[in-house]
Amino acid sequence: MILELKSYGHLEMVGTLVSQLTKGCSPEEIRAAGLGDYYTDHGISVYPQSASGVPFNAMTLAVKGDPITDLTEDMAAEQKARSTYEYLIDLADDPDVINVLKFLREREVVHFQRFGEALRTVEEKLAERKFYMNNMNNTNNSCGCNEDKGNGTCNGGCSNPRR
Amino acid sequence: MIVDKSRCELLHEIMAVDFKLYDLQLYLDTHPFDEDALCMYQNLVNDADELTEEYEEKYGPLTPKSAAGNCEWKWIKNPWPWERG
Repeated sequence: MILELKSYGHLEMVGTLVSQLTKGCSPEEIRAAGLGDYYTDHGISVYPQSASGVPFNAMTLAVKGDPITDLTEDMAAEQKARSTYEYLIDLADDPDVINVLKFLREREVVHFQRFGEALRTVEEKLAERKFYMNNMNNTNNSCGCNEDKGNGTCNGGCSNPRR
Repeated sequence: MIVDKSRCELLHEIMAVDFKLYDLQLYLDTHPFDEDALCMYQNLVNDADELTEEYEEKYGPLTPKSAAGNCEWKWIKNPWPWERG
């Protein structure tokens, strides 16, 4: 969910880029830029789809309910986004566009770092030695067992006989 | 809409501080006891509050919460983020 909120923020910035770049373009310019098909389907509105034209779909997201699995998934998503920004930078020639893409790429690196720290925190938590306090409320005997309830002794029959 | 330079500059400053806050927030989520970072965060909150107050006084609301004037909804008088001056 955090990842998605962040991605919506990025989507807004990239959408703004596209909106500003296409503002006032003639149909000829749009066609020459390879946006003819896009223009036919969506005009100059910003529509969430992949570079190859596949619309955004929730199937691209994964969640398993296991913190190790999900955080690792999040970290992979950050790296995929970083690669995508790098490919976009390869293709871009406008320095103002490249600057925005570089900023967004840097965010992916920082967020990967943060998710890595969260993963480490979870792993450390899971590796902690656990103490189970299950004799707290139902112990009757001084040795800690529950045998022969009532008289305060188990007559040495339990695994930790009264000394 | 023509956006004058000082408005742009002020908005840029606010965005820079807000961005620092956001990045520091992510850091604090995984380093909740880092005193230097906590102090830096609080200082930035104060900066952001001051700048926001200055901006809203001069140029109008930055969030809908401060958009309700006495007789006019001021939110829609601002240029949208994707509109350039």
